[in-house]
Amino acid sequence: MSNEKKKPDPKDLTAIERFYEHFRWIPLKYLDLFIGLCIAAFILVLIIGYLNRA
Amino acid sequence: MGETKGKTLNATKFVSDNAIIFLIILLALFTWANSQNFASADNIGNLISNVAPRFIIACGVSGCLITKGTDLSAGRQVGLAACFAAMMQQQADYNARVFEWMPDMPWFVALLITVAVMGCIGAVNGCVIAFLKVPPFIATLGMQTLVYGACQVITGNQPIGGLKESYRILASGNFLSNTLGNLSRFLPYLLLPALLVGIFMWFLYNKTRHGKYMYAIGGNENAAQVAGVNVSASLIRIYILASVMYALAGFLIGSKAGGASTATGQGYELEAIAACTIGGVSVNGGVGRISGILIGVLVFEVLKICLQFLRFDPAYTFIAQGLVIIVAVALDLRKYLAKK
Repeated sequence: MSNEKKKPDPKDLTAIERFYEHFRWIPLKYLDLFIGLCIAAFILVLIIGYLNRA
Repeated sequence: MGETKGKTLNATKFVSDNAIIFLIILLALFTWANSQNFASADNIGNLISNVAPRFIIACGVSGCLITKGTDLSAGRQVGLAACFAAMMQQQADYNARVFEWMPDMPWFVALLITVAVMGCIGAVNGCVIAFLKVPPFIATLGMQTLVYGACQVITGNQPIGGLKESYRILASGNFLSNTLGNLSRFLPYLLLPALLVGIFMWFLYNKTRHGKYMYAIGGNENAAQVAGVNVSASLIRIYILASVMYALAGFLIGSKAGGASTATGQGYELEAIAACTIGGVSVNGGVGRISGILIGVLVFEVLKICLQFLRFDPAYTFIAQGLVIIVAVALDLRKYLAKK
């Protein structure tokens, strides 16, 4: 599941793609986990915000 | 069995790709159930009025994003356009007129002048990126600061008020107010320019050679060049069009706010880029639809309005918006890594 496939030539990449290439070593499942955690944090912020509302 | 599993995977992928949109829909339903007036004509009209200029800005930024670029000067250009429009639409007898020598002119002349000036700024952005090969991030960051400074010099750092009624009504009036009564609040004037821009951009992106070139450049610039696409000319056109959109948005924002200052439009570029990303415009280029951009803008505005209605502390609104942007970028990164 790792993304360690053939590396593209950096000359062919834009600045954003080069930035994204830094994360190539991260398995997708960990990225999914991160996204899930962010969504959980979003829900948590909404709950805390709702409890502390004016 | 395999087919069922494939369908389940597709459904899971669809839900995970659009998780933020589902959450915002749930939040809107919750707000609707817990607060009065959330679905009132006034509030929906207000939502449309807030979405309209932001959608126009996001449409402008989307062309840059699709070609693997960006435009960090969007917000400041909107501010400058708003100040320009406001200066040209001040009442002739207003004491604190910025330019007393400025002749009284109808709003559409002011709009044309604003569009022409901002188009020149877009052309400069496009030329710097296309001919000097400066990365769009750097070129537009420089332009952002430059435009902000220019705006301060032109306005003397003073807020611009005393606008003519004929200009202010453009963003505060409603269609069919005499016949529909209260229901006309669902149809603010600002709906029309947003609708026209949406149709125009959809046509441009999907039915014209320019749109095809744009996606081709975003997919693979070198391949597009080899295939005969004039990449430089296309990029310049894209940045000019983006600035024209900022001019229109700035003109409308000035009218809606009843004034303008150097702070107008601050941070709009990040909202627009985030809305595009939420709406499926990949910062890796070559991907993006107008319908997606509209959804992205709506997500942001509905989130803000919901939290206002639920009487959240504004600090929590910023945290929630920040998390939405992080999720949008993480989803874009995931798409990029999965594609490669």
